[in-house]
Amino acid sequence: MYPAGMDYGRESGALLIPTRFVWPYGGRSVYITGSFTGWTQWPMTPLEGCPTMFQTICSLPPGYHQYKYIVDGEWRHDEHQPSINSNFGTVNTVLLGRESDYLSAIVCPQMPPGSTMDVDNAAFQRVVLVSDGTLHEPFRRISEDDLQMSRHRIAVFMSTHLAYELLPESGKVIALDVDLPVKQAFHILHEQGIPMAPLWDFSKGKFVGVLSALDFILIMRELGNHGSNITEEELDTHTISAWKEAKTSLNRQLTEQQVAVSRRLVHAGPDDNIKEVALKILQNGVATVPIIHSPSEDGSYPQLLHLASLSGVLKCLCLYFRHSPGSLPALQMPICTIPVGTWVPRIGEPNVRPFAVLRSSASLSAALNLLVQARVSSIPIVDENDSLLDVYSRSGITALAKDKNYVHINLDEITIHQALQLGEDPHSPYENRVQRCYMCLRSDPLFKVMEKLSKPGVRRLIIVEAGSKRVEGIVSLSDIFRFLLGL
Amino acid sequence: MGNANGREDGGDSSQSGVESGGSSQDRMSDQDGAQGDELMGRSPPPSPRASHSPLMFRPQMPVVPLQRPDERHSPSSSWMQMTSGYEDMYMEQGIPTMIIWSHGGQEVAVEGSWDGWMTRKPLQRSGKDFTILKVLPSGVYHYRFIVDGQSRYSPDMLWDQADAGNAYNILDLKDYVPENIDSISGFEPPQSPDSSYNNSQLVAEDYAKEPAMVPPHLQSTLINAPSSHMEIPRPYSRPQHVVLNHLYMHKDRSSPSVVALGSTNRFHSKYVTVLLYKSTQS
Repeated sequence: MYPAGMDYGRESGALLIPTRFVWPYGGRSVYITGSFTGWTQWPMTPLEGCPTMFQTICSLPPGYHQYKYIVDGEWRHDEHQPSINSNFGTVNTVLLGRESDYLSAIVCPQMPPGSTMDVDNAAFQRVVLVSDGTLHEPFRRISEDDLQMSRHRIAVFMSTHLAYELLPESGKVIALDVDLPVKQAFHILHEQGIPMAPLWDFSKGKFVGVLSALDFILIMRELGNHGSNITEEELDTHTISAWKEAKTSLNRQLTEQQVAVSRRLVHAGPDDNIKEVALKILQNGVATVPIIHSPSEDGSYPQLLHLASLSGVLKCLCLYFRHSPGSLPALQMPICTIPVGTWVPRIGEPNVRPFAVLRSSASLSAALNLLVQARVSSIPIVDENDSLLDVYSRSGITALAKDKNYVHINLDEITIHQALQLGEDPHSPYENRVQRCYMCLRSDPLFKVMEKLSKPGVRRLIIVEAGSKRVEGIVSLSDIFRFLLGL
Repeated sequence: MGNANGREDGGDSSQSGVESGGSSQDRMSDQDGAQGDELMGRSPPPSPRASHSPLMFRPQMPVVPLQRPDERHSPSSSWMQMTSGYEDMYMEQGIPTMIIWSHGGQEVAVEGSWDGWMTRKPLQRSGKDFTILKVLPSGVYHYRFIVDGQSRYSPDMLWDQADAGNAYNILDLKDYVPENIDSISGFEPPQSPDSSYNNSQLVAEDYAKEPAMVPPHLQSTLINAPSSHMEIPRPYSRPQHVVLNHLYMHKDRSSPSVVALGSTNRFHSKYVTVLLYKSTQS
């Protein structure tokens, strides 16, 4: 059931699940107290636009928890949520499944509830299917007509503009020989400050693939594995092509939960329209698509022009529509009212896609395992008060190439905090943190979120609660495009 | 032309501190060290990090005050100021553009989506035309003219019609001026100089001589320009035509098995600099 290579014993306690608690019955001051607060009072904040609803987000380790509310000095419990009698009177309870359940649920979110043989998982699903029907969001929902019109306008725009427009007037692209040693390749990626590069095969005379941060993460895990195929000395001579061969055979060993890696390079030409480029990125699950021009019919003498990403497409879109907001009414809606992004599930909500964060004291190997197994590109890092500190993303792994740090670090012992500091410029650490961690509120309209995402280097925004900076969700470039294209 | 000698005057100023091990000046001969030193009369350029003085005042990036646990829920919007201050640093430059109305009238004004259709600016009369100069960031704007109180659009410029029936003009401002390639093809190449073309092939003695000088224009290649930092690509300036279609090679002493090949080429009206790292081990 679980993908090979994971050792859950080591990671216990590292995984935290943000959970939203809502008190919808009004009051002047509301606190929550429970086993996860050490039975001290934590304040809850009223929702904007609806002062009778109070909410807070707590990051809980998986397991069984009890909690109660203190409303205007009085101990109350939520009658619509599961509860039991205890020393404190009637307390509400919540059962968050085992860590393993979360990770397997993350890997295959389409698995219908109750289809596994795991008894605990089934019990967990039963508990959280109790829904809270009396709640209503303070914001209105978008009308279907507005949505269809906006999607149609955007589709027309993207079908009539070509990938050539994504090219900057004067651009630079880095490519790597597929026979380069892997170690050299990562040093080059780090020096040039790029997260990935296309691979050129001199013998075949064409581009055959890309080398990205995910490859480096897999290699680091291989190095850490006992009995792995690659040793430290071999890394000096291990070429990229040999690594890619090993990776496909590794993928074939894993269970059917892993999506088969396509060997063909996903690329586009400068005369393809932007919509085709975006669809290629979304459907193949890649971050960038090289734009390659072949003057001849059979694809010989290819000329690499640009690495197109959703960020560039979004920038093109925003530039065009920024000054005529009336033509796209869907963009005025706050993001909490449209089905975009991954949100922290609320108590009582059926668990569609679990959401995980990590403390900065968690080990780097836990972070890398989560990145690989859950197939996400970044993880929010929270502090002891569960407010957002930083983000660890896949591309951060190339920072380990600096000063050959990957040689003498132990993935299990180094914490995420230390790993992030390794990549930082010692003279301006504050700027680095700001550059990594872009935030927005749940009430921000969609066009504002799109403007923020179209800045180069921003791949995702963390949705935080105003004031406490607690993590409410993540919205990424692919989320936005799936929504805009109606996928 | 045989081996050319790359002089180093001004070349080392493109190095930027410790990080750019792989992007030092291209050298195609072995006689670089001695000549380089005697030309470098000035001190080495300061590393870019040192130029960020800790005393530099950054008014747009306030420090978030530390929150005590009992203040947890007090609304503090200072972190929002932080992100918006960072946005200001990305503000685009305004591009001047002329808007012209040439269909008569006594008083002509223009209103547009650059400020949400809030203000109307009068146009200046110059002969039979009315003009106004606007400075706007790049993007696509909609606008209309108000001629003697009547809302009109100019049919000889780009226009469109909204669903409600109001027609408006469209202004598409790009953040660079695309090159007019046709104007280049009108360039008359000079005649070949009168002389005989019967030079013999190079022999071993020719290689022993000092190679000819590389034209200094070829130093201004974009290959050495610093690349993206933390995934944010930098906008490059338009390369000069003289560096196009030349192959630059660089072999770094610290990584002997890798050679870097670089070249800048034109594709339609845009330029692409490709840097390919090749392995020299078989």
